[in-house]
Amino acid sequence: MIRLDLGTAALRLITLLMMAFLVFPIAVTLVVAVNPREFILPPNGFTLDWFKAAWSSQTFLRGMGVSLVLGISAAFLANALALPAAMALVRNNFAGKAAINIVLMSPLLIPTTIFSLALYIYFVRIGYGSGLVPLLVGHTIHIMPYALRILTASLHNLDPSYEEAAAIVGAGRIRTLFSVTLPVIRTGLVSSFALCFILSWNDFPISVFLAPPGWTPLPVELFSYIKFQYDAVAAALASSLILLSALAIVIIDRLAGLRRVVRS
Amino acid sequence: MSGRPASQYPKRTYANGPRSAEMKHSMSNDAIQVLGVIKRYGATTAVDNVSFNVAQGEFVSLLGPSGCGKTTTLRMIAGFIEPSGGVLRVHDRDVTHLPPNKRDLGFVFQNYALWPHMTVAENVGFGLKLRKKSRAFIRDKIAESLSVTGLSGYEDRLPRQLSGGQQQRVALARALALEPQVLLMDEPLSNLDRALRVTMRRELKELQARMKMTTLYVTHDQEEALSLSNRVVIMNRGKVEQVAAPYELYENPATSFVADFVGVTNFLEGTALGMDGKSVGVKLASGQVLRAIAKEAVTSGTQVRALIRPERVTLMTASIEGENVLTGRVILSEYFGAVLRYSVQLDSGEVLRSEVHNFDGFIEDGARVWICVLPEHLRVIPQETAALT
Amino acid sequence: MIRRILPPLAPALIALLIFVAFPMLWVLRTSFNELAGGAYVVDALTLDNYTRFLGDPWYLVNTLWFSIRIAIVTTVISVVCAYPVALYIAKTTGFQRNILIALIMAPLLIGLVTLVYGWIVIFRGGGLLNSLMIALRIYDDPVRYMWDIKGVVILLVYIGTPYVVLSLLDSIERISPFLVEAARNVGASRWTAFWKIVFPMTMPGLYAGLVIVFSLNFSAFAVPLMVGDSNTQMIGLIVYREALLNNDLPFASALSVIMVAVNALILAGMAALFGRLILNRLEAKR
Repeated sequence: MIRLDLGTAALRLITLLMMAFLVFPIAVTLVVAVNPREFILPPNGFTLDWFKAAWSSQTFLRGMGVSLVLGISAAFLANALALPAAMALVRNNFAGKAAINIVLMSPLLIPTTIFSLALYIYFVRIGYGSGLVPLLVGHTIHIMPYALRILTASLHNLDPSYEEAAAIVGAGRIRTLFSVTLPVIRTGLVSSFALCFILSWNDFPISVFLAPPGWTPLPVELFSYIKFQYDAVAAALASSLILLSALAIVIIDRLAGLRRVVRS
Repeated sequence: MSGRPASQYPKRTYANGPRSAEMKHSMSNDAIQVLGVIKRYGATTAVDNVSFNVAQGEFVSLLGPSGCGKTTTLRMIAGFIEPSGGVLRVHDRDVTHLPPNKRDLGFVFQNYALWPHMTVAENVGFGLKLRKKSRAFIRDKIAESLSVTGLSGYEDRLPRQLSGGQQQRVALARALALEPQVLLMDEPLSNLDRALRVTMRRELKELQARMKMTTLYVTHDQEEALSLSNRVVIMNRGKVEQVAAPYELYENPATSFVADFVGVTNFLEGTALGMDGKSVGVKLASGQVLRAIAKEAVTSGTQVRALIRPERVTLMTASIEGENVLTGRVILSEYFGAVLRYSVQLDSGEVLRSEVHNFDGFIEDGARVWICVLPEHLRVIPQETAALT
Repeated sequence: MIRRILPPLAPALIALLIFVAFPMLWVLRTSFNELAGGAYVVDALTLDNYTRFLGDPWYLVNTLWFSIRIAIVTTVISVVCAYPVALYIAKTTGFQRNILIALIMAPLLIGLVTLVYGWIVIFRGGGLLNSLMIALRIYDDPVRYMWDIKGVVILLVYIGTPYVVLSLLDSIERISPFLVEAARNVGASRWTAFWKIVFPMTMPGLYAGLVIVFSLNFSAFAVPLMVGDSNTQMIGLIVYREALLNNDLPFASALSVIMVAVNALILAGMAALFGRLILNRLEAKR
């Protein structure tokens, strides 16, 4: 029952202002990235020069490559860990299930600063220091709870009788998994993968602690760049990141519904 | 399509349509007056020109299938939904555009709607607190309402610590504590299991009789409506089909919808012949003519339906002769303990259902039977109103 | 039973044990170690790292107390901003709702550095805001840097508010509209029905939002690192600096332990407060 009255009008106004607040820096970045007059607003035209510069920088391309490989591997590993766990949690009721769920979600409860520092110190201690393995481990562990959340939700919607029907006609457990379960929850899998990838792709706090020299992911590269340089090439690079994130948001929303990402 | 005047309340029962307009400003003793109320949602009309009244101290039910507009009507009276047209009056006060908190009506929700963060006592006392009553008064009133509903001693429980039946009682106590002018109930028993529903139904009837509380009750359960109400408003597709006392409704349904919705009915299609007082001849497709009763004038030559209740279809295994005798063959017999139900295929093809007591003996499937239908048990209604869902 | 549920859970649990539990314990252990020669961690059992922090008023006031204050201020602002937004989104449906939720979630999914960059363009000396102010003759000249604490607060609010909106929305959506109608029916005005019914029932969501945002903001290091100055030495930033720039892992570890302890203490206080207020009554339902 929506009544148009003073209260609702006030709520709408506040919501509009908040949305403007949330979108403003993103919009400014996008505008600056295509504005021929560097940083001078309002824009007087449209150019892709800044994008060209950003996309031809060796540093950025390398950062992009690192982030791409890192994001794909971390997303793959996180889902590989989360999928069997999610299946066990959804299919069974057992004492301590709630506790195990909290343990699996724990990376979200620990402040990133402390999580990253702990991994850093730990790998230094076992003689590894910063390196590709710690970086991959940090990303994987950090995004795993998100994968678990989306996959759990998808599996909840999966009618167990599908699998029982497969078992009745003689399919083994592995066959059932690949021929019935995974195809049925594929939208959940795809959105889980997209979410994990984008979280890794955009991550800064973990990478800054754990990335080894020469293997700097793009966000850290962007951070170093804007620390010393102030130009619209950075805006183009930031815009590239924004557009990729927007794509991921659309994919996740279409396939699984955005709300599941944060809903417990 | 129109509400028929019910015999007990001829003066206070309004047909929908033009007549209701002139009644708008008349004073009456009615607790609730619903006058030509309409609710549209976009292109669909959920409640279409509905009119009826509830007298002081009366128990009236709104009965109909789901989606018939009964709950919408009730929620408009409570003020939760704004009507698109028409007038709502409570004790001669126009409440049509009053917010719900100014209407002074009790409401019992289908899912009880108990506030989960308040104890039983806080739930019951909330309305009194809003009315700035003294602490002592509120305490006494809570105790009184809870004792009436049989919940004394549960004051400090939270809703989630109660069973469904107990929550139902709290919801009722909450409504009663404010001593509202009128009590509105939206399928209050539908979430209970069957045994509890029957118990609560009896308690509700006793309570209502004792407190003489004007009650408007929404239900889709005909048993509830018939057993609880002084009068029943039957709704279908947003319109009132009939307003009548339970007995009238069952014995004299105004439309085939009412006949079909309340109880089980056999329909025989035919053409009306001449009328003789209330008696009318119905010529069936087979050519046979049956004598029947019509409440309203039927034009000769029009298509009509003759209704007969299964318990009025008496089966004989010996041949009989005379007027209003049908012949057929038993095609299905079902045993229900106290009663037996037979399906009889008439020689003319139609199937009639018959319900007989078990002490009348059993008839074999396939047996030939003769049915004598008394004219007073055969009710004729015009075909135009026979629109069935 | 165990044989059926343990194998699928084992990989994830073992990974968490090795890469979360052990490292966290190792942080605790390292906090009692010593730093030798400015670079090497030497096993020891000393409280020096703790006394160095807790005995230094500058650390206590300018980092720990400062971080607590910033976290409280930003959390309160986030809640105040988020509540009406969540209420409004709860009323919307269909396309409008999808758009609003996507916009609310955008800052959560777009990286921190990217978002900060947008704010830098706005707030930087000679940036958008500065130009605007010069145009409006509030400032005459370009300033070099337009933010300090303000920048940190704005960004923490910016990043934190979406979490509060979403957790409040969860709570609001659980409230049956019948509960509000029931209150209206017994005589509550719209305002009273909100305060007595809706507001208490959103406490679980509000509490969840508070916990997330407070912990996030109290331990933040990336935001003060990117937009702060010498006046915004939040404790998370000190941890970052001691660990990565000064290589003083024992001290960084001790700071982390202090950070976790203080955070837990404050959250426990909030839990007690909220529990007494309302959660005890609502929570067992879940």
